[in-house]
Amino acid sequence: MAGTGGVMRLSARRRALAQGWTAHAGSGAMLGAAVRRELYGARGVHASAAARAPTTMAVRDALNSAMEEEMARDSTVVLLGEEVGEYQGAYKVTRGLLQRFGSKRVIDTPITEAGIAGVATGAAFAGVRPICEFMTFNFAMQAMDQIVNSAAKHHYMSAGNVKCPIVFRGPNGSAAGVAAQHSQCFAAFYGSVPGLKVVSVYDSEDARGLLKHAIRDPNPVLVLEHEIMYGEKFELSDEAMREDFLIPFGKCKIMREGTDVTIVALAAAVGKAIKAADALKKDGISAEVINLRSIRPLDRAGIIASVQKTHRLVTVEEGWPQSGVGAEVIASIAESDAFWSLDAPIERVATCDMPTPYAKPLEDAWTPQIHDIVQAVHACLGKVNQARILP
Amino acid sequence: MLCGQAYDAHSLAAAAAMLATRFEWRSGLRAAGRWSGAKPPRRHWSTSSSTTTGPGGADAVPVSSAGSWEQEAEPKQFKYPGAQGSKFSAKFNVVQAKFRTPASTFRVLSEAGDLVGSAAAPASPEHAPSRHIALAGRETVSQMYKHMVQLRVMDEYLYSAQRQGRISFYMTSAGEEAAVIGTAAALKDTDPVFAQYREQGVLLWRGFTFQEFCMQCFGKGADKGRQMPVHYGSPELAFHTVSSPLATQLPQASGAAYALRLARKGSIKLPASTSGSNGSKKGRSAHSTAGPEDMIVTCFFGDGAASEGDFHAGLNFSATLGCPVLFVCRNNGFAISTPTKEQYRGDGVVMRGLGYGMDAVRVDGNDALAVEYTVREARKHIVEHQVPVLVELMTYRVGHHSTSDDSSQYREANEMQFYNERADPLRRLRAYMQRSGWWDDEQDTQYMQDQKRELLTAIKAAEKEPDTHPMTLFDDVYHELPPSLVEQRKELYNHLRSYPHVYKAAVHDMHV
Repeated sequence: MAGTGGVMRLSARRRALAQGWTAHAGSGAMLGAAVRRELYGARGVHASAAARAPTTMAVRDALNSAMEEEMARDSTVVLLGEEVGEYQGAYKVTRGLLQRFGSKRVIDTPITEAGIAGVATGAAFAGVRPICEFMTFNFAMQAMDQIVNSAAKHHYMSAGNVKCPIVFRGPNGSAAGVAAQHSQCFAAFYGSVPGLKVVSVYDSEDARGLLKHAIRDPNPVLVLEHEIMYGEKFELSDEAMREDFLIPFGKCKIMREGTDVTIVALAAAVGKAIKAADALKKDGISAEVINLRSIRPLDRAGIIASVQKTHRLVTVEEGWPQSGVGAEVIASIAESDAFWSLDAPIERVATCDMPTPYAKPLEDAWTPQIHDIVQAVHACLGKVNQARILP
Repeated sequence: MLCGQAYDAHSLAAAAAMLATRFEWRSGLRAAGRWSGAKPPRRHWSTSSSTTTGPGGADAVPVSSAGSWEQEAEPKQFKYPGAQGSKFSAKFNVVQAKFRTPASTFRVLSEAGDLVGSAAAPASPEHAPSRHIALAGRETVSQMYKHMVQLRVMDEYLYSAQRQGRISFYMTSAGEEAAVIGTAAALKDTDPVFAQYREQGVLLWRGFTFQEFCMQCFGKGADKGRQMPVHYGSPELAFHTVSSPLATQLPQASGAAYALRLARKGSIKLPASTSGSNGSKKGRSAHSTAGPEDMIVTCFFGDGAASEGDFHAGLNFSATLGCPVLFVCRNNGFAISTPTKEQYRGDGVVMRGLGYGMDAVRVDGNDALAVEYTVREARKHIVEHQVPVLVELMTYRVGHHSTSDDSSQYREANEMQFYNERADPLRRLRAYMQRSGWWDDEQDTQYMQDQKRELLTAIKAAEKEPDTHPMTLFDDVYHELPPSLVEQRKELYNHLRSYPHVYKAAVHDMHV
């Protein structure tokens, strides 16, 4: 998608601007349709279900399609963020939306995350349904007061009088070679806050279903995406292409069924866990891979059921080990009936306990790799004795 | 041109001349079909001359960063995108902060309660004769005064209640009654308000009862005991639930105002409860229902909160998005113990508005008439032009910051006394009313006694009310009760049922 298609679209935009054409919803329809043909293939979304081949879509385009459909469906949905309009999105996730919906609903903001989140929160209090994009969740730390103290808590503090139907979305976790201040995973930070819902996107199906649900949800929802996954293409079923395709929150998805060990992962780590499961199959180990999807509410019942089947658990995350998502999963298992089903101590696979370094060999050592997951499964199955030293 | 000079009518006229040349090439653009055309404002609300066109707000040329090179077919002069109106100059012109005259403070009432300026004598040399300042009439002034008395009485007694251990915390607005009541009186009751924490006067004006105030302070109010005292909220009175972190309400107010702007343009349709169709509680029908085309958002904050990053974000956003929001700064001289001379080096808060491209005015916040007039004019301007305005109300915090503060630790007793005597807003307005023959000492004493009696009744009644039920603990975390909390709620229910002799009152009123 980043090749000739992108170049063609940019030229079309420049041409349009040179002709003094301003963006209205009406005249944007033409460009919108052109973009849609690029996104959904020649058949487009209006082709009959019977004739349609499985759609292949990159995660960024799946997110784009979800936002476009929801904005078309509900005129109170607006999008704010840095570079979301004219620039078509810092990661091109919001491509075409300004052209289709106009500058009143797709707003290029000044650079102030606290301001963006605050303005979006206030608009949500007033009845708008804002989608607030952060260039990365690392920068959203400057908005954390608005997200946690206002968006998350106002419904409770006002005894249900003040509603906040807002979505905060953007890339979370590590990219590649962007070092400490661009690589942190915030799933555990926000996952601990009552009043928020937090979901984590792995593939295109997650992207469509979770983002659509988040936009329709009357609560404040954080949609944690992943920069590395934006360009990855996945096949989407007819079901996933439907306009009303919503993934329920609080339900994990079993990506691979297995019997020997449960591997619980989120976001990009799901892909690594799947590859690890494939490698383990060659060793005769059948690993069940769970895509958490929903950090808050956490699908404890789903994880418990899986552990009761496999009797072993490994958690994988691209976040720091202490007080991370894995810690919550493990604590939930330890205090549940699944404790009695465990045949071995639980293994946690996470990043190293330090800020992300830049240099590639260092970063690769810092990030959990497929072989780390395989190693952890072997340790869990008692095949490897590992002395772990954690402070 | 505007560097180093006072902000006055001459500078504005020069700006107008410069803008006139821009209008020429603008019409050229329109003819070429390259600009949709927006009407520039014909009359600037703050100048004495009626024909000056001032720097425009949202109606001015929308400069798109993508198209700045397209504005002129043959650029007459080289321009940088960041300051389109700036002329090149060979003179080294530094904007000298310390030699700038501070912005003047608008007042119409003297300390003794006499009218001054053109409000008193049309031929006054300070103000142009064409500028008629239409002050509030007898009914509004009497209402304002009575509410100021109510506010002072309520503050005094609830402060004492905290000292007696009956409530845990309170914040008074002693000395700032005119600032808040005057502002509230000039707004419509359906204008959404984002407050900081010292604006209970707005609620009082709109009809929040003593009973409701006391219930909230005792943790038994409509907020189900969720919030600390003085953190009021009332959707019926368009008063957003108070948020403790300072200045978070500024960008939120901009966002809520942007929502009004979208609704006004028909881009979105706001839910009925937010579009002001409820009207005020006490049916104060003089300013009852209003649609989004006639609503503004008002945002209160103090001189200390204006230092927060959110202040910058909120004002910048409101100006760039064109949000119909009124920012009201209560500059009361202190942020807990930090005096304003340590809070900022610039000329207060009012001049910051210009930095964001928004009109700003400084008012004597203890002059209820000036406050009411200013906010009324500001509101009109905001509704008409859909731009934000900043109003700085100069006042003095006579009381402590809160019941957790003892301001004698950082200021002299005679300083408080000085302001109390010289600047007391109630005394000033009372003198004006008495001079006008609308009020006398006897009525004053009687009214105050009545309010004291009412308030004491409300306090006693609130104390007797049952505590908020523990089963409400789980409500409102989310829009719907999540499964995890359903379980926990059942656990609590069973626990309460198991020990009825301990949880008598709770068990009596239980439901699952």
